Amino acid sequence: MAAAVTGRVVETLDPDAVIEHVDVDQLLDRVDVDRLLDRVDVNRLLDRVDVEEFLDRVDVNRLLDRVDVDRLLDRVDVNRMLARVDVDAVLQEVDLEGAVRRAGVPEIVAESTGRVAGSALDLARRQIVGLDVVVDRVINRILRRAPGDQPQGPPRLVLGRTP
Amino acid sequence: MSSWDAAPRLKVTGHYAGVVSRAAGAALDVAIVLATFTAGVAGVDVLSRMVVGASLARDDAGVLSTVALATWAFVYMYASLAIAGRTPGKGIVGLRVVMADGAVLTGRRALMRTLAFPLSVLPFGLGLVGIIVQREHRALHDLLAGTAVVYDWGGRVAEVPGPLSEFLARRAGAEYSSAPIAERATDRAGAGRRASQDRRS
Repeated sequence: MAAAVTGRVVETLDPDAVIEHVDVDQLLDRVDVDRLLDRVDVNRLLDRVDVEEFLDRVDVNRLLDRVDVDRLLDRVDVNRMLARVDVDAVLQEVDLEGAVRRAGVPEIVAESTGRVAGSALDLARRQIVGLDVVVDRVINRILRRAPGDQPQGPPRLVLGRTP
Repeated sequence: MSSWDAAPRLKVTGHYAGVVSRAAGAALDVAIVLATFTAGVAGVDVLSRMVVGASLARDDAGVLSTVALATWAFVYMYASLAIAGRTPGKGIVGLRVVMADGAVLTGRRALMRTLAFPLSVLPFGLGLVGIIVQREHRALHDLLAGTAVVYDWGGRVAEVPGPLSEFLARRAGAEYSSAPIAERATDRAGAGRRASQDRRS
């Protein structure tokens, strides 16, 4: 009997008219949300979430624009972070030989070595030239030759030279 | 930096090389010829022992070794002069062999110089005296081949040491100044004219 009456009432009533008479805020105030959430299995809920699809809908650039990077970095303890880095392992991954070659270090070393060797050779050569000059002056004095009358060098090498 | 280091150095590129430079170059050449010859003989000896089972380097009379050494010295000297205008020893010291007028040494003149070299050395080295007393420091083999030896340090400028340069400049060492000969000859001619005008007046 009661079921029949209830069914008849439900058929007769307009749901929208009923809902308009309900104060939803007052109803929600009476709901204990914490108790409700306690009954929600969040893990099960997350399992049903398609994270990839969710991330596709996230505008990362816009998100990053809102991040204060300086403030974030200020909170990072770089020394502590570096202390946790296995430098030997990192270096094993790095092609140091290739990096040195790309940086042109072998050329710089060869050039500087060549320059030092050239300077040392020139220093020795200068001393020998100096001895030549001294011996030449002594011979000129013995032979009573005027030093200024001595030819300096072959005409083609000396005459065309600008001072 | 001391005042000596700051002294400008006189440039001598293309000037006739003196006796000390040439002696140093020759000593280096002799050392290189002997070292390479010894190494070559040792190599040939090892090979002959391995292949033939006898030592080809054994030469009691020394005739074969002398001829081989002379041949190697000839090849060393001629080839290096014809190709580079200098032997390795001269190259280290910073010398170059040129024609008497300063032109690049030709292969023919390099051959003549190499063949004439023994004429300078064999009669007690008398032919080498020219390097000391001759005005252009040319030895007998240089005169016969029409060549001269000059300072040439390749891409760098041949220089006199700073202190000696300053001394020469102080003593008016015009023979090593960087002024060309023609300019100095003009200066001398001008000075001579001025002196004769003074005498006339």
